[in-house]
Amino acid sequence: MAELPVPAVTARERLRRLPRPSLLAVSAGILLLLVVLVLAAPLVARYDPNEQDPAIAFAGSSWAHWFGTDDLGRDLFARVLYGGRLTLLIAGGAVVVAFLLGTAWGFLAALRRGIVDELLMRSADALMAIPQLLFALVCISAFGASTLNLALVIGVLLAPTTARMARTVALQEMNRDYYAAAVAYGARRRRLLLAELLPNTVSLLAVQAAINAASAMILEASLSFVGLGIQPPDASWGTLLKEGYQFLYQRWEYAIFPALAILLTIWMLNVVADQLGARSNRGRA
Amino acid sequence: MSRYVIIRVATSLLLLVATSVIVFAVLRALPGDPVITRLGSTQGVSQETIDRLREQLGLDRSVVAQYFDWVGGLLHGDFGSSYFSQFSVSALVGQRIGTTLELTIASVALAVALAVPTAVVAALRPGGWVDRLVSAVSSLGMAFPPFVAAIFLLIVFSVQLGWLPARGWVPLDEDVGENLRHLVLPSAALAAVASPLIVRYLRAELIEALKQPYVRTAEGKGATRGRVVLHHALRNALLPALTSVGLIFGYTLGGAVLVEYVFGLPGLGSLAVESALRRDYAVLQTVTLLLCAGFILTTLVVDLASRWLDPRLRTVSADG
Amino acid sequence: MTPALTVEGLTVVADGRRGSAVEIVRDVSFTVARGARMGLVGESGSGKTMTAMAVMGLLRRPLRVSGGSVLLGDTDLRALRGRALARVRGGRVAMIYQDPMQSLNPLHRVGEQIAEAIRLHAEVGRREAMARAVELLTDVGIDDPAVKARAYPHELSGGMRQRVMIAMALAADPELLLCDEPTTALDVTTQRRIVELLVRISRERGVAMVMITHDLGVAAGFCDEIAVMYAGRLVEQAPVRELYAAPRHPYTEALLGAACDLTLPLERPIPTIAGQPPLPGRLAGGCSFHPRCPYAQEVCTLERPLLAAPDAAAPARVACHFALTREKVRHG
Repeated sequence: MAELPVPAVTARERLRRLPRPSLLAVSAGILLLLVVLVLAAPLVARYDPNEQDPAIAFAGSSWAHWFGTDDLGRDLFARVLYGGRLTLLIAGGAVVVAFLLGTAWGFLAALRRGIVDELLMRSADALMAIPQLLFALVCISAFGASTLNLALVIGVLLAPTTARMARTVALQEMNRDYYAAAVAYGARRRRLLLAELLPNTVSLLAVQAAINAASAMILEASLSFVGLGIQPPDASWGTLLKEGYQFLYQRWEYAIFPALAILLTIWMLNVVADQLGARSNRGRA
Repeated sequence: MSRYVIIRVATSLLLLVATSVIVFAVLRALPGDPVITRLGSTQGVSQETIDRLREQLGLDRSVVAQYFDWVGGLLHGDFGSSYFSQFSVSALVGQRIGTTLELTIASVALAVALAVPTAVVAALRPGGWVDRLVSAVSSLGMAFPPFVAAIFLLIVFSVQLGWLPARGWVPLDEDVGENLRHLVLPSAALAAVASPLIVRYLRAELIEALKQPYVRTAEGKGATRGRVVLHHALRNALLPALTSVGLIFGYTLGGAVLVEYVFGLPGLGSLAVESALRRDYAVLQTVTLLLCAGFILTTLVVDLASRWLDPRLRTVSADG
Repeated sequence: MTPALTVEGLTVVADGRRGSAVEIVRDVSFTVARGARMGLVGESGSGKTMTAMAVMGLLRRPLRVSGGSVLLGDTDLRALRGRALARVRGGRVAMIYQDPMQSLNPLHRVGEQIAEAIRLHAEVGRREAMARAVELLTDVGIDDPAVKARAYPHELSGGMRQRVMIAMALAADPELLLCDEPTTALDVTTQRRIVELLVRISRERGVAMVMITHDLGVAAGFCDEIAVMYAGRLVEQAPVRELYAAPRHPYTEALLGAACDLTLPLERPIPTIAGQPPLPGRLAGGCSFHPRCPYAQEVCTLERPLLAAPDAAAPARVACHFALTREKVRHG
């Protein structure tokens, strides 16, 4: 063997060799923590998010009010936590809608091929060429802003991208041996779809789900920011950001906290999507 | 070359037509009668008035006829009239398209100017500390919705430091200096989000290019490291990365809608938001279609340009 | 006169994870006289290309030179860095590569690429460099050089691309030219023309050349002297006639056997060397060739033979325990 002697291990090297948690674990952990915090808002927050106290309007951060208070003296920490519930609810709903609609759309295109495929995919292209936010503005201004409408509209808007992804993944899988074997074995199309395609594509669809969740949060925040989202006194992170934006010169921290909440969640979702994507690529290589 | 160009242009046109159908269909299918919305309420208004208004706006004709009226008008430069304001849609759009164009172009230019040197420095030592720092920062940058980045910039540069105006706009032909001062923050907000995307693409392409034998040839003939990277590797890496610029442009155009709103810029984006809030579909459908057309056109131009810039594709397609 | 190239104890390693390193080229020494043509032959993976890359200073991580010296004339190439190294590369020593398509920049016209090499080493203007590039293209036998100079690499044939590479290598009149399998990617007739071109250039310009090849036929037509590499080491070095007439190392002998002799009837099976070339880092103890060697004895598994002159009279060197006595072993 032509192996050279291994140099002595320094303390720093040893530190470096300690098992490190993967980026995926860290980001997923932070996301989980955020979700738990938000769900447990009534336990964590010491104030009612809508309880006003004009005497302490625009109070700075303190032990009593971690994030300070808003223009009406409401506790900002409580409002951000409770706001997260609406934001996550809408984003989660939109992801489910996009997943159901998108996979059906993409799998149908992949299974039928030919003219159906062409039609489905061209329409997806056309939809994707339209700025999502404008589309969402139109729909919400027509249907009205409610939690359900927001989730539905955003979910539908994210469906074409998901469909494209689902189609690509399905076509890849259909070129694999197990699929050909199942077809040769005489499996029915619906069975193939549910028993073979879906489970095998789930890891890549999970990546898309994380991307969708991030996009949904951006859209929700955007809509709420222009006043077409969650309406006061209820507040999502987008609504809080809008309120904070209006009082930038009074107390800029007001806008910072909801902005950081949005930012952190989207960042972690992006990292999770990246890491999951890299992982499933490696698994396939 | 020619056949490819024709096919590519035809697909883009088809895509544009499909988009216009979707935009139109969705706006017509939505609940809410624009006439009634415009009049505020039906109470105290005679049916005759409503019918006249309907006729004026062409809303009494069939949906298909309305579509062709709209598209036919667009082709003649007549964008119809707003349901609300006294201005024609053309006038409204004309007042505002310049701002959006300037903002988008400035943002993409700024993003490219930031991204190219960053990607080069990162790609020189993949896995080195600079590379890891760049990855971390661009990962964070990509997480910013553009309007959130806008708010952060506002807080720092307008609220805290007071260096730059928080709202408003001065047209370029009025005062160049003031125009630029109002342009800095909005375009920085958009570039902050777009440049990490470019860094990501370009870094990957550059690392790949630096592994190619022709780079070794360049080193072997005595080119310095800088020349090897800039003259040989970067040019080859920019070509595939160029295709991502179409995407970046679309992303920036979409982000501009809210960034204009945040900074109170009189652009197409803020016009769209105002129209949506007022349910002025005549304006909204046209603005939406214009933005789509901008996106489709950019993608087309970028695609054709990158083909033309690559001598391999240039001659191969000349044969076909 | 100092030789054009003196390589002494050159060792190249590939750094692995956690500080381990595998030796790819081990303790290689040879010299190339001015104007001489030397062949460096061996199977793929024997370290020929890495030796040349090490001379050029073109090794990339994880590969690096871990020991030995490389002298170009009197210049210690291993001591050079940055601009000083860039001046020598392409200026005094140039290299042409295996795959001319991949080795030429696809986005630049070939004339520009040659002109670049000229301008990197001489203070000349753009137009003059271009004129010289066209001249060089004429020298390497390209018809219509002014037109071809404006072509992109993909518009040229494989043989023409390799001629362009040669023209580029000659741009600054180097004293040494390293040719890394310059004919491998080409068809047989083109191969011969390129070899002839290289021989002509070496005669006319007095350029010393190292020809790296796995093709003994190519080497025979080109070189004055041949060095054979196996598993990162030189195993035999001898003047070309001597080596072909009486190979002293069993590996050389096997290689010569494996070279297909076209004068023989086709039905005769092409001889091959039994076994696989070893992977670096997984070498057998003793002589690296012993697992594949028909003459191997116990001593071969225990002791590594040193590269030495088999007899005082011959200019040859060989690394084999039985270099001289093999005939007896075979018949005995």
